[in-house]
Amino acid sequence: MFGLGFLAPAFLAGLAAVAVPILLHLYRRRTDRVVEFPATPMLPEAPVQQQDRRRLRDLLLLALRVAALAVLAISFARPYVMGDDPRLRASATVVVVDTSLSVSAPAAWADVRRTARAAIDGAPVGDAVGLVAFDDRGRVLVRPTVNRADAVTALDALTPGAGGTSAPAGLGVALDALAGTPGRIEVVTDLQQRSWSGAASMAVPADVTVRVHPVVVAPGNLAVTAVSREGGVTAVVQSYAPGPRTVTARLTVNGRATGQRVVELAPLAAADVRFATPIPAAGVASVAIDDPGGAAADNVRYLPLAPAPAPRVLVLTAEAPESARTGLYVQRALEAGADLWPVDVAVQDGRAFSADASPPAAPAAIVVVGTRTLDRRGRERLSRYLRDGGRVLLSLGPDVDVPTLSDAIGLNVRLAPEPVTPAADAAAIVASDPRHPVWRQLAGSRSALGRLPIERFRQVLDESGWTVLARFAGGAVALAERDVERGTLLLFASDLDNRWNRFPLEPGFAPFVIDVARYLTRDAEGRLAFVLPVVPDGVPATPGAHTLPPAEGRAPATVVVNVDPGESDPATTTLDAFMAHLQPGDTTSRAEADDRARAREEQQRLWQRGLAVLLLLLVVEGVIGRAGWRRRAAETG
Amino acid sequence: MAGPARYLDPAVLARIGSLDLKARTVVEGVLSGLHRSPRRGFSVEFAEYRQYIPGDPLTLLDWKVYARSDRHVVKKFEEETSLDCHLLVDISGSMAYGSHAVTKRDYACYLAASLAYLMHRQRDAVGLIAFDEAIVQRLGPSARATHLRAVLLALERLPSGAKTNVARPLEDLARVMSKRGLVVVISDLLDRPDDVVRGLRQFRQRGTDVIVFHVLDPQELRFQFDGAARFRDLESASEVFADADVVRDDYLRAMTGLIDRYRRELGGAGIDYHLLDTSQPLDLALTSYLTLRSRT
Repeated sequence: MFGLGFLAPAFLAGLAAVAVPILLHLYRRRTDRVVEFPATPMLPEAPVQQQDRRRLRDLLLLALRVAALAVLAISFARPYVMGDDPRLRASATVVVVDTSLSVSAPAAWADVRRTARAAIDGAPVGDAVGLVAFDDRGRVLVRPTVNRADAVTALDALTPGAGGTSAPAGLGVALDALAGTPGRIEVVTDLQQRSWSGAASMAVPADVTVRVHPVVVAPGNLAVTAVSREGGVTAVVQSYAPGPRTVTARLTVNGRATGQRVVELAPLAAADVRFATPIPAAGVASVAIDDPGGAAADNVRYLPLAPAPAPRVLVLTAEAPESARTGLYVQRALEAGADLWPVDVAVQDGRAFSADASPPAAPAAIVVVGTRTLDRRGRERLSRYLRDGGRVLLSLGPDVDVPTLSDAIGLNVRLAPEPVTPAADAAAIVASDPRHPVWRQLAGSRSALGRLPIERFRQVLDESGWTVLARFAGGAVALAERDVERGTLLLFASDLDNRWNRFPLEPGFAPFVIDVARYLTRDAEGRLAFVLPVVPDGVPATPGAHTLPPAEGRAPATVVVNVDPGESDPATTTLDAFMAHLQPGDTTSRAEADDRARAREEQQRLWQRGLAVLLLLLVVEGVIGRAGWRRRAAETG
Repeated sequence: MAGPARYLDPAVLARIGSLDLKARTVVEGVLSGLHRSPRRGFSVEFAEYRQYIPGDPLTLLDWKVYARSDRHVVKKFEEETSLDCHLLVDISGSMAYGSHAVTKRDYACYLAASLAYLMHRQRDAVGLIAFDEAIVQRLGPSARATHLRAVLLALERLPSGAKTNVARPLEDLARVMSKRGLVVVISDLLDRPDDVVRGLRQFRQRGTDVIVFHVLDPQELRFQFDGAARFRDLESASEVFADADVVRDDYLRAMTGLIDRYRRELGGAGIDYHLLDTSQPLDLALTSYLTLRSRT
């Protein structure tokens, strides 16, 4: 009611008492003596005016008495103004709209908007309504508010993007927007099959209902899914149409149309398109097709023409690689993925790292598997690298010297003095935040993480300040992240050298190491092509050619951003499969909501103002009533 | 009040069922001490048969009836005077008011019936006009006995009227009156005095005698209400809230002024004006009529 909440709403029943003065007033009016008198027109006029005044006075007195009773009842109910804080409302609805590339076809997007508008309009009366859009990431467009027009306006202004579909991203933001308020989440999406890629499940509070409104994306999308420099420029055009299609592919090099080819596409098939044209060694080429009925952002794909220097990753070991072969597994994993993600891997032991006084080009990331041989200079060098913005993956294996670790990373990490040997069933790793980029390839596969044979690990005793990305099944930290001044530190609580676990021998090891390295070098110098949603700082997350702004030790460069080709595939999952990812969580604590309401009421103390108003009303009522009594006494002599 | 005179009390009359009987009662009561009218008309009309009583003139025996039925009956003839009397009875909404057993309308009907009966006895032709803001019912003047019954029946069945407009019915009547006569207006005259006086004056200008019986309830005359109340007009339903104790003097002053004005202006126009209190006996009205009749 008027954005008001009440701590003790039962007292509102006292509002019924306002009927008492009203009934008394009506009863008195009804019992006014009526005399039928034919000579009424001869009665003097003055008393009529007095009666008008008396009626006005009576109505005023009635209003004052009713208001006094109402204020009294409301004050006892302990009111507070909820404002737009959804946490203070009884219920809220958040409409989550898919704005990914897969729904950007004109017909599909019209269906999305129509469905979302229906969801806004259909929200229960009294609910605050919010709007969240999502592709790879969720973003709150309108926090839950009683003014639904805000959500409608934001929806009207919404346009689809070129990002992927990440349902957990949208749902996570929606849950944040609900802020613990019971209610419902209305998801408008095309159920793209990659909606839950990289996330096993999501806990949804039991008092939050998630309803999915699928929109239908008509098959027939065409996309340029790859461009490379093979034999000039070669592009891959993919058809998701159920019938054969013919399309013209056009090559543009540094803004100039260089050639075009007609491509015959079989149903649901891809075709290579080769432009055997001399290509310059710098600039940007792009291959585009026309597909007005399908998604627009995947109709063009960009290719950087300059050779892309691979980011440099240093593997820091305790012993020299020739003698101990430590760091070998990390090196091999990174080199194995070089075809897809080129990387310059170097292995250096602690002594060499400590003795290296020259300031070489800083590596994009350092994977530390041993610190035992780092001397003071080496530890200081590593610490400075981290503080100055470096990215480090620290593996707490047997070669890590725990007593000097704080010097090496510039951070005091409280670890158990001795490694922990977990029970067999406690050795599995569970991703805490499957949306994190380091789990891009692994989090979707429960078996890849759940069967990791971890034999020993170091236990982190103090998690404060850390963002835990994965835990062992027993609850101990497995992978965690935190900022160290300008740098980023990832901490893996076990070994990466096949000594405390057999993880390096598992198929998931290489994807894990590559994804961690990609995450750590995400804006590293040397990489010129990016696939959404990963873009370096300073580069817009939109397809096209962009300029990477200069940074310390890095010259400006032209980079390209392309859409994720998997998003072009209109294949969808089923509603049941989608909903299966939602796990019932704890009910939002009513006590927490009550505490918030109580705190708000304590802060506002409207009941005190109510009692002050009540006192004022009674004073005014007394003055008016007494004046009326005196006037009547004077009239009757 | 004792003897026949007690039947002049309106409260007593109200308990008598038939208006005919009421009229007889009133008239007989009034006439009990008066002489009969010496007037004779210029024509006679058969009225009724009655059984021959020894002593009746034999010239009045109807021999044809005797021949057919072997009964001795005598013919009765009625005299018709040359005076047409018009009884104008106000039946507007305000006349329905009564603070005791008799409303002003009841009182007006008793009075009209009594006058009709008395006029009939006087061999005057009597007519009836009921009006509110227009003429509602009209019976032309006649001296026949059957006509008297028609007048009494009409008085008993008068409809309820609406607003008062005395002047208009007077104008209508003035247009249709063909010869001089007597106009008796029975009304509470709760109308614009200028219109009322103007309407009545036109009869006098034609040589018609006019008697005005201004019928008012005792409460209208004395305003004996007390305390505050909403006073509602019977005709317009408009209301005035007033404390009776506060407004009494002003009201009585206004009512007295109205009565005095009627008395003065109507008297100045040669119109007999009589204020009647519905709680008072009817003899005053009848005596007033006879007094006027004795002058004509």
